Amino acid sequence: MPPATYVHPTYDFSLVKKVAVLPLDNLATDQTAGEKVRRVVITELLATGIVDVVEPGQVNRVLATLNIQNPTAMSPEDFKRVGTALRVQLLIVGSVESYERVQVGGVQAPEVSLTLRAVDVDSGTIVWSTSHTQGGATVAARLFGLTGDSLSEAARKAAHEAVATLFK
Amino acid sequence: MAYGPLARLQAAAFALWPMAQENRVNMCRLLPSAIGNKPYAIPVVLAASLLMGWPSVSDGATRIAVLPFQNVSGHLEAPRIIMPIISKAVQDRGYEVVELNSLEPFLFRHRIRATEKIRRDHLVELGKELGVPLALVGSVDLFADTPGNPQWGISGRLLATDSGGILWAGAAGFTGDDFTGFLGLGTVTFPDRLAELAVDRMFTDFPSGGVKAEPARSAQAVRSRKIPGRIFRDPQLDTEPPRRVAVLPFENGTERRGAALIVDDLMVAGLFRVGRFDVVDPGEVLHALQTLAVAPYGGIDLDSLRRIGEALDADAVILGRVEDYNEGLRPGTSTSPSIALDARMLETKTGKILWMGYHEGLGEEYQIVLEFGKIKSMVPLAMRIIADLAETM
Repeated sequence: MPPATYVHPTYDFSLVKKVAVLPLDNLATDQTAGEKVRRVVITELLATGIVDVVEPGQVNRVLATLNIQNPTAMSPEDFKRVGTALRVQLLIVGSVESYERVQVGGVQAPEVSLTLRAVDVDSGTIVWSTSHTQGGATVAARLFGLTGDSLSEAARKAAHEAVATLFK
Repeated sequence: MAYGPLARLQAAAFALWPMAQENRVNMCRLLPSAIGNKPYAIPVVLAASLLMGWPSVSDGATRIAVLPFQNVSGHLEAPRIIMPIISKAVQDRGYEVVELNSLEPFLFRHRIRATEKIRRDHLVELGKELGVPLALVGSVDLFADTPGNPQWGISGRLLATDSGGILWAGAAGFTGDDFTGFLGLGTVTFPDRLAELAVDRMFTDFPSGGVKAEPARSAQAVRSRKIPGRIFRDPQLDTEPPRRVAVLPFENGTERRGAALIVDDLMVAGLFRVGRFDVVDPGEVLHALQTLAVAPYGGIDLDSLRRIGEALDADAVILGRVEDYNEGLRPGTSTSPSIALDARMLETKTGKILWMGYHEGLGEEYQIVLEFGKIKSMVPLAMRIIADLAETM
């Protein structure tokens, strides 16, 4: 399935200097997938050289201080409070749908699926959204049993492709 | 090295008198109990030293305390086997190793249990009470007494007792199979012999006793290779690099108890050997965290970061998570060790992420041809992965 991406047509991304990545919703069987992918996304965002990213420990501290227990169910007011406390222009939220090795014929191939959204802290508006899947039952895996990447590499590729659409 | 009788008398008096003045209890322990507290004790001992051949204090030998290595291997017998080998190896390199019967009472009195992460004030006390300018600390990271193919993994640091500074850091590990040569011959099957080899390897660049110890960055750097995947490196690391870096406890995301403790130590050793930063000793880090009541585990908030930076005089910290740590010892799994870890460096004043990366490795990936080059033991693999990361910082 090709990746699906939305970029707000009139939002001025040049004003974005600093972002924070909130804990991702983990829908995968690997209980640590959310945090693993979160760190990969942070690295990819930093690697663009366009924005600074807040240390996840500081993000977690602010969420705890503001008593936000479910980052996936935040109101626009919550986004504003968190964004103000972290001094960022965008908050990155999302989910990890899969982070596992899937059986493809006689081999196991890594599959990572993630969805990311960027929320403007002032307006609470979603200004970017993308879904990406990496690995899984590829042609190479089905025909030749070539699984190649590790799960972490598959996650990196998925995050890289996703982040690449943010500042296009 | 022995000198004439007068010099030995002078040396013995020099060694004994300050100890007698500062700590009468220690002095009494050194003397036969019959004369322990008597006023004529010191002259008697000095005279006896001439007659009985008291081990002379060489002008060249530096006194050193070899603290019991922390056992993270999970094998209860590991310290009993390797500690005497380590002490002897240190002695063979020209040091005068403080006797256990002097060291252990000190550790007991000061209630020092975490000997691998000793606080700076305890180090200073150690230096003064036992007259040692140096202390060797470390950990036994791996010991498997698999019949026919034992394994060892050890790491160590040489500390200056007056400053707490790291003067040397090293690590080594072997399996018996690492020495298997042509026709399958040469495998080291005895754990004691393999321990000797591992200790020798760890101490390859250990400074010799009698030489003023300066921080020794080894020319024998671990060969690093290009890291697959993504590393972020802020240009500030070139223009305004941190001067002093502290490694905070890594988060353990594996089933192996102690994996993060091992990676912490190896990260310190790896950073020290790269030589780009002054690295805070883990003992100081632990003490600061306890004093500040901060427990960063995988992440840290800005306020805590600043307080840690001030307490340790550190410009940056490194923290992270061990995602995979497989020593290849579990039945039914591959015998090739594997490790994966992610880490990041934060500037303490601002919380800015200066560096962030992920790296993983499998021992058999390093194979060149016919088992040659394959890394069969965890500690060398971990050091290789950490060296790869540290080279990019």
